[in-house]
Amino acid sequence: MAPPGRPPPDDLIPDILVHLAPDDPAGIIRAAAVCKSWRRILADPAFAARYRALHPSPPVLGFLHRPVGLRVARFVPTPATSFRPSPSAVQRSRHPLDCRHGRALFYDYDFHSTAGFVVWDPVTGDHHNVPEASDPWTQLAVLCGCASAGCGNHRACGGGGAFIVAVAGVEDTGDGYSDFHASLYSSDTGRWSMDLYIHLGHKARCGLVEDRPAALVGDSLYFVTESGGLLRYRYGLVHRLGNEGFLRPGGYREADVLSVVEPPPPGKKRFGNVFAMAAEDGGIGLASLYKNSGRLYLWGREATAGGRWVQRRVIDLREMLPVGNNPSRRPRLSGVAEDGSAIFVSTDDGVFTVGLTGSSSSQARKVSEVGNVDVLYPFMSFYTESLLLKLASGEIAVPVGDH
Amino acid sequence: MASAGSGDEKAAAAAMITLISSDNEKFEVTEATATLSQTIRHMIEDGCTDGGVPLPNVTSKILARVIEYCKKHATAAAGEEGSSSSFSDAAFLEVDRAFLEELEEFDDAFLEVDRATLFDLILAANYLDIKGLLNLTCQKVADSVKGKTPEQIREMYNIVNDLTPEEEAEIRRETQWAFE
Repeated sequence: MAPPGRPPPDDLIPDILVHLAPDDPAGIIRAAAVCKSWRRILADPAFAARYRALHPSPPVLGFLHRPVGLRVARFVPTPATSFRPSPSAVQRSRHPLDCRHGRALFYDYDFHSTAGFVVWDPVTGDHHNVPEASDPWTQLAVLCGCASAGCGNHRACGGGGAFIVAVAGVEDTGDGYSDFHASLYSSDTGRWSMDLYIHLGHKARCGLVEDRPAALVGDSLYFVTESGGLLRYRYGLVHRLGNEGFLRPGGYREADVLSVVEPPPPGKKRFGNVFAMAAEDGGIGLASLYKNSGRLYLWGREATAGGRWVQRRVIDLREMLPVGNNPSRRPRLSGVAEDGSAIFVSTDDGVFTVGLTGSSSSQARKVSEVGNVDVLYPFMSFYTESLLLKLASGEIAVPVGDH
Repeated sequence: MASAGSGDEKAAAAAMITLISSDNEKFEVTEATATLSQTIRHMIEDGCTDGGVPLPNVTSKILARVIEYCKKHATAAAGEEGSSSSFSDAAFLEVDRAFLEELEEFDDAFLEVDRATLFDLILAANYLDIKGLLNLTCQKVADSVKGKTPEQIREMYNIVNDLTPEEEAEIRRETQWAFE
């Protein structure tokens, strides 16, 4: 029988510490302040690699949303996390537009400032002004500037490196015709690319839904239209060709960059509350919550040329959320995780996340008491892992050990 | 074989292995249960399990708990293999979910042990190379320090603070936010 009060087995402390929660950055720092041996373990580069293997995807540390009727952006941390955003930037008169790759994008209502948009790093509080786009825009997206250069999942780049802001909009040209425009801003050049556009069909119902985050899959951003279809912007191609966005030297046409993805075939019920998202197979997908049914439908697009929409899954949210039969408590789809691993559903009782992949699949968890959130932008980050890398590189001091 | 099943798999699953604890107690388990331990799996593959498998690092008290865990999880693994992998099939999804929930409840109850037993389970899981059990028990310890200050963690686990006051001050200065 082991004596009471004994410390954990020495050899197995790395096995224990590797289970420290990835949404608890303070937990890593506090553990590193327990004793020299714990600190040495946490500062070992091999430990960071092991931690990464056990926690391959970034946790959701919180979400941004705009309270109904207010011109402010709020950051709501998830209940379990010790992460708190750098206080600057959140409470000001800003309209959240997107959050991805560790960065948030706002429209700045402060007309005294010269900037139209602001890109903010919730960890460091760094923010960059982006001049307003001259093109018609409805939706925007922010992403890592090295996305098209094979940066992988943006572990290392954090919120500090180069970024891209993409805008997309549909402009009514009269007589029921419209054009789909898109351009991008690169922090490397500090300029907007040339505006590209294509003509859409007559009465195409291709207007973009406001406040609906785009999905990033491969080198393309997908924006949701009123009909539940998508407008695809191959921003990666434009970014590769250079910020000017001239297509001719590469032999490309506008239609190679901009295209329309039709919605799934109409069923019996109206196709509504649609979000674009990365599908489980790595392709583009759609999530839709039919009004009144409480059922979430997940669609995926076949990767083959001329691919069709395939209904992949139906999840009855009424079974997992406290929605009951009260019509005012109907859940609404409010957001999706940038990697497609979860959706966010809002009810009167708060915000819930429902896992779609891995061991959390079809499990609901409450992430906020805030009720009736319209649209939210989840903040997912490898921040905790980045602290391990800082310990390993000596950026956060490690006491010199005795052995 | 007395097993009700006729397939080869069921016959193999019913093969029995004898495990012998450090205090010389013998435990009869099915091969399916025993092979959750990679250490024992390798011994079986090498054909050195005749006359029982001595486990000199594991007491009978801990071995009984480990076997309880392996039995439950071996059943669950067999159940999962039997079900459809098609995730669009709601009926199977329902079964899988019920399985997982039951397993989770079992794990939660399993972890209701004193700290010394928990550490012994970690040591046994490591020695026997039972990944699931090692993860489960280590997670329990990791969860127990969540939200605790360094002082509280040291107190909980009887850890000596060998950081100099200067070192501690430096840590706190650089990462003050983590201590607020």
